[in-house]
Amino acid sequence: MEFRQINDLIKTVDSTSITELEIEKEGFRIRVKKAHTNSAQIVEMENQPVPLIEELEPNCIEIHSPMVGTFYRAPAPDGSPYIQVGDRIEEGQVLFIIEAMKMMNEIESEYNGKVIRFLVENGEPVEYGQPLLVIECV
Amino acid sequence: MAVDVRTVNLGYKNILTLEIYDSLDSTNTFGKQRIRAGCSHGTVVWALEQTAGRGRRDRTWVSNNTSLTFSILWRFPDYSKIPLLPLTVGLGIVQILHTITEDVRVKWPNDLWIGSKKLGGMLGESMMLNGDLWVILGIGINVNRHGEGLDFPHVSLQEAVGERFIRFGVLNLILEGADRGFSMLEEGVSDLNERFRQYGNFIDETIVVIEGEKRWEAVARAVLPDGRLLVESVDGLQSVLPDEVSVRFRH
Repeated sequence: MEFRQINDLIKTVDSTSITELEIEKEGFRIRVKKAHTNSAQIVEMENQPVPLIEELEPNCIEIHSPMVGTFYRAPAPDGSPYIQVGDRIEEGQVLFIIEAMKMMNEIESEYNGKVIRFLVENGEPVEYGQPLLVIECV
Repeated sequence: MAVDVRTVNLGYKNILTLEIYDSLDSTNTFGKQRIRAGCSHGTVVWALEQTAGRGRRDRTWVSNNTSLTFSILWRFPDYSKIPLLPLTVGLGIVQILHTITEDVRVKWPNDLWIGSKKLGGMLGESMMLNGDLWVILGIGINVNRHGEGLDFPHVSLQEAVGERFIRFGVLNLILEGADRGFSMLEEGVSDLNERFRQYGNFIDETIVVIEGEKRWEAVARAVLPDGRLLVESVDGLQSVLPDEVSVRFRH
């Protein structure tokens, strides 16, 4: 590993929330650990109110994002959304798009059911596993 | 719509069959039809003429007999590797286009540029069919174009090198590059940043980052393992996603 790569690695770790990273490759091992932890931030987080876990209605399930990306309800900016609240949906029907690294991924329903509500806005960034939509299964 | 189809068997690892059509509205849209009709992994759909090509978020991509427009259809086991696919395919294509000119670079994340002009681009989409995950990777390259009718600075291989190219020859070269890009992804790309240093055009350059209405200057520092770009501005280091920002040269 060259000095520049090590330098890049340190910068990368520093810019993320990772506190410690260890890489082992071809007989070479490097461990990068952040020297400081931000205790003020931890205290602040502990003081935040615990969000209430919302209970889902009977027969309802959440659809989660399969990847990190951007949530779109329509195939094009001025296009009509794939689904609306109240729509009946079928297994295999496209529900929305997640854009990840410029790849537009059509996400299909695995269930037959009805659209109850959206949990994110069109164009919003989403995390892996984040609930996006509630549907009622039939 | 497609009538006259010719099929060519290709010998690459993950690009196996080339289907040639006289004219298609969009190779990505038609590619989805081919997937539904049961085509196999590694099929390429090439339209000699594309009449209603699509770019990202439905921008149009016009094409005639001076450019190449085709879509590669690949089956994937899951979503985990899909976001990096356009990056590794872009790198594979640029690597092989260096046999024509080393001025071709990957503009992060997946455009092909010569200098500050666009040579080509990609539109990647995915869809599920009967539990299988399919990627439709549409690629457009200006081969012999003397461009008009495009609203951004663009360039063709002919303009860059000073000679005309046979489209089928360039297509073969690009497919070989795309195949290498697919293998790179399959084997696990551990040196994305090094490859972008070699074949990309932004690392250690000052760029303009465009984030909605906001524009700010930064120096591109690295491409992170997940494909994000690490930039350094007066506010320090931060990583950006291509879904949120676009980047330009400062000049």
